[in-house]
Amino acid sequence: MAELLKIEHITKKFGNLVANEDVSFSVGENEIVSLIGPNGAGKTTLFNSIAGYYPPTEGKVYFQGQDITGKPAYDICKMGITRTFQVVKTLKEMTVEENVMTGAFLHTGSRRQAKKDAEGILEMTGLLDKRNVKGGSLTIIDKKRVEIARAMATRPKLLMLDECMAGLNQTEIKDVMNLCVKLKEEGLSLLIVEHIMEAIMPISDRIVVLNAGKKIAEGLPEEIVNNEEVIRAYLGDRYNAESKKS
Amino acid sequence: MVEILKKYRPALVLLLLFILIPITIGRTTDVHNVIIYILIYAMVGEAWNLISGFTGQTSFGHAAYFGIGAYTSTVLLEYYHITPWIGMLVGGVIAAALAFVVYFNMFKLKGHYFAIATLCVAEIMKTIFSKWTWVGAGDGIALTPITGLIPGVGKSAVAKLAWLSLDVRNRLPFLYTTLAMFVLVFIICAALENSRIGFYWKAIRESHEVAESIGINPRNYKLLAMCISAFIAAIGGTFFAQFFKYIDAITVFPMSVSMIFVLVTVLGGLGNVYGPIIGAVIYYSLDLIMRRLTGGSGSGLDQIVFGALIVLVTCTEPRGIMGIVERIQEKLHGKKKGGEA
Repeated sequence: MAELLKIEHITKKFGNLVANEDVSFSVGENEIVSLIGPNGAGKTTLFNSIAGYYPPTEGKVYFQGQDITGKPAYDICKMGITRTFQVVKTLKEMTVEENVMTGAFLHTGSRRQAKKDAEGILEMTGLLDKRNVKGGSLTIIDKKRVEIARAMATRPKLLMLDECMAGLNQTEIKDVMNLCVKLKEEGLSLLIVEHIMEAIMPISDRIVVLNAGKKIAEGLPEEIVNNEEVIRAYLGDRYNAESKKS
Repeated sequence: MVEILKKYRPALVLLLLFILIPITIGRTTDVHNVIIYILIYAMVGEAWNLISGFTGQTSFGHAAYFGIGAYTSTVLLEYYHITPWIGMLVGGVIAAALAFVVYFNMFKLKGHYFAIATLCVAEIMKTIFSKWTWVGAGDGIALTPITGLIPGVGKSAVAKLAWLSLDVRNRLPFLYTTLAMFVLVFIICAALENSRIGFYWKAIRESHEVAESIGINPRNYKLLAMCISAFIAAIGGTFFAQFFKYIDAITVFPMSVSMIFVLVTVLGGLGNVYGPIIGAVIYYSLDLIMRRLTGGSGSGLDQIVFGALIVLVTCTEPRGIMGIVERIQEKLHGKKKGGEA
């Protein structure tokens, strides 16, 4: 499988605090890779380093073989990586359609074309009937949909979703899962940061586990659930010991 | 085309009113003066709206560009006999260039800090122009009437020159010229709002991070907004100088002038193309009514009423009068829909 995104030995320090230490992995074309780990493991920091919100202290990020380390976010977006935010940032004073059009304007200067592009994406994300609602008055699930739709409108090759399922109920999580699979069918690669295991396991091709800034495991979903170090990181030593006894 | 006309129906109604009122119910010099002021301040209000309403970068220093426009065209006219039509463009370019140089790095500042920086720019300009002897220093420049400017020309030539030099011995033509310029500015602003640039400006206003995540370089788009805004503000300054016939640093650069642009737009509707014109109409109508009521200068009563009004409006609806109008429209629309169902 061709490598789309490759990160090598990423270290990010904030003063003395080491948020990421020597993390390396890659995302292939048309692949869903999930980044999991307990709170404070440095998932979002890694996300920001890749997406260009701040440069990593050490290490390199390659996209389609090109070095994109430390490039500003807007340039990285133009190359084909678009992210969403953990805390949804809907453009409140703009309608759903305008939110998505803003993304679509990356590839066209024409308002009509942007509207047309946005329409297809609104349909796919199930937002068509809410197109004229202001972003600020949406429910949380629709805000997350808009977030994904707006990112989609920039036609990325790699879509990075930061905890897009947090705060959703079971049916809504199912919706987002289906959407992720649909996006993969469209030929996209996804890098997903997520807490919710049961949602992430069935749709991921590969999983990378971070703990305390370091990568502790990488592999297929079924390998990860049985990985001792992962269990220890998530549940603590005591549970790991007990599970061994029984 | 028809669609556009339909969308901007209120604008056409407004335009009609502005054309008709000066030759029907408002045929006095007083009313003409007020309408000219409305148009000039609304024009600069539109300019301010681009950077502060659409792009969300509050500027308290638009008097800087307004003053540069006024000074540039006046200096060119008085010293070099160059028509203000060219003078306003030169002034616009100078103002835009100043905005570009000053804000190239200043856009790192956000929120209140940025607002304070803009304030300083206008204050610096005020100080420079009140000390600069070439532009009259503290005395300012009084514009000589066109006959005095070029002595020995015939009467018909003067009439032609008056157009060329935007002379306002006859107020009505000047009023319509200002109106035409305002309409042009309005169209430009409306077109910008509906283009990619307008969408990007609004995205930046709502969230820097989102803007960056979808491929927008916020600095460049903010600079663009500021430069266009400065250009238009300078044109407004030229019209002001031509109308007022006298400029000095205290008249065109003070903070009170900057605040007029802010207040008319905030009252009318922040981030709405109708905002500045609605706000300016209310501001100057109040001024006119109070003067009629109390006689003389109006004894500052209009300021008190205006102050109360702006507190009232911004407390109930941050998007100004246009925000209230929109809310009423939505309610009516919702009711209609409900009735049908």
